[in-house]
Amino acid sequence: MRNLNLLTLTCGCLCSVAAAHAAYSPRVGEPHPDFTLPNIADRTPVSLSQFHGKKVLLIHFASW
Amino acid sequence: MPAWNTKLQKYVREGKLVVIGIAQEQHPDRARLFAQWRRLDWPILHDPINVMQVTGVPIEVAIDEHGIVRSLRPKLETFEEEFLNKTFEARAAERVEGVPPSNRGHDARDTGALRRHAEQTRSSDAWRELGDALVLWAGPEKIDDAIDAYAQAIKIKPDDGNSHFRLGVCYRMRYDSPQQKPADFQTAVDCWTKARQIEPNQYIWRRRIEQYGPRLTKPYPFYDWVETAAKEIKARGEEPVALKVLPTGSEIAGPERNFEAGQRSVEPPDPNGRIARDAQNLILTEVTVVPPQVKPGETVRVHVTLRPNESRKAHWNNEAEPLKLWIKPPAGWKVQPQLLVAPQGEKPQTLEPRRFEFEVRIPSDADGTGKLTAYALYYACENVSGTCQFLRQDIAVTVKINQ
Repeated sequence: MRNLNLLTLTCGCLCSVAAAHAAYSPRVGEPHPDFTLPNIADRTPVSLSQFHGKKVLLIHFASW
Repeated sequence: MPAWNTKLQKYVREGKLVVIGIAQEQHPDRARLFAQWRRLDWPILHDPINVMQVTGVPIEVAIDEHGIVRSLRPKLETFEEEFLNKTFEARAAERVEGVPPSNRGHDARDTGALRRHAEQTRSSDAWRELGDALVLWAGPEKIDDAIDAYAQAIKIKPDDGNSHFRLGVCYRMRYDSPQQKPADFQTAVDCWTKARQIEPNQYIWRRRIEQYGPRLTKPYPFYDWVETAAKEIKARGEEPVALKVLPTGSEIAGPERNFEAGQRSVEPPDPNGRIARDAQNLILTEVTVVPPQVKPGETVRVHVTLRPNESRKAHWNNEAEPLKLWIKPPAGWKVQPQLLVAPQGEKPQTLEPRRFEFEVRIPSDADGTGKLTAYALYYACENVSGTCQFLRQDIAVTVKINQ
């Protein structure tokens, strides 16, 4: 019983850590999560889903 | 990325490919200047708060016509053959329609609905999502509401690194805006430092602190490209995107730091303290220390912001001696440079905030709290009476030292 409690506790901790730091990790063969962000030129919303049916190259970058 | 741009332009024009850039930047105008310089003619999206949660850049992801990820970091040489010219099979519809959990059930831009959801569920995720929507969609006038939302998220979940980082971004945004409040920049740095303590492997968060912190041993050229870009854009006959906040200090790799060479004797501009003090606070000062806490032997970067006091309708007088800052470190502390002079405004009278930066190396035997004294000398005027005065303001800089 004591071991079981310990196990539950460990599992609980791991799960909360994973949720808190759900880093960007797209997987080959899986759908890319949709997102909506403002266009830098005019602040209009742009979503990945609006390009459904087209091939997309997504580039995460910084000017620095 | 320039290589991608050249190669893919043709396919983008033909409608065969959509390229989307997502810029991890505090200042959107810098990304706009970059795009103008590099002639990036595809949509560039701004992610100042890193909602994408990328832990580094650059990352290229090839996504097929069904929304399925086909390649991470695809190779330029095989891009056409292995991705562009290939037809991919559709998968089960429910997989294709995958949406991230954060966007489920409500519009990620509807701040009213997000607020009701946060108040009902009292979850840190819900408050953070409200903060995200406010920062991205509600405009600068709602920045206080975004700050409140992230603070709520942190209250519920103190180790929510994302909320700490995003809260820091909000404070820096407010510091750069007319709504700025005292200590906004320091609060931003404190928030980012907290976020980095929670998740030390987050490169985007780490870089945001380094951007404003002491120059690295090998100085990192964050924004050295800005000058070249502006020149080249002008040479093409275009007007470069104007930057609201010009890169300074550790945002530029050169000139390099050299404490020993920097200790040339410079005469203090008011050695006996005879210049009248700014008792009416015509100019307001704000001090930011990055990082907020250091160990003995380490270096901090100190930012001093001086702003004409709006409530006194004060302004800079640019037809006189320029604004100066003199720094007097305690014995054993090294400061570089010791005397700073600000460029004058372009018109006779201006209102802009002026920023100074300098580095301080803490001696290896220091402990507790270190105090530097500095003073600014300036010509400032009060609009009410129109009187201009040459004034001095003493500025205290406190550095927290951890053993």
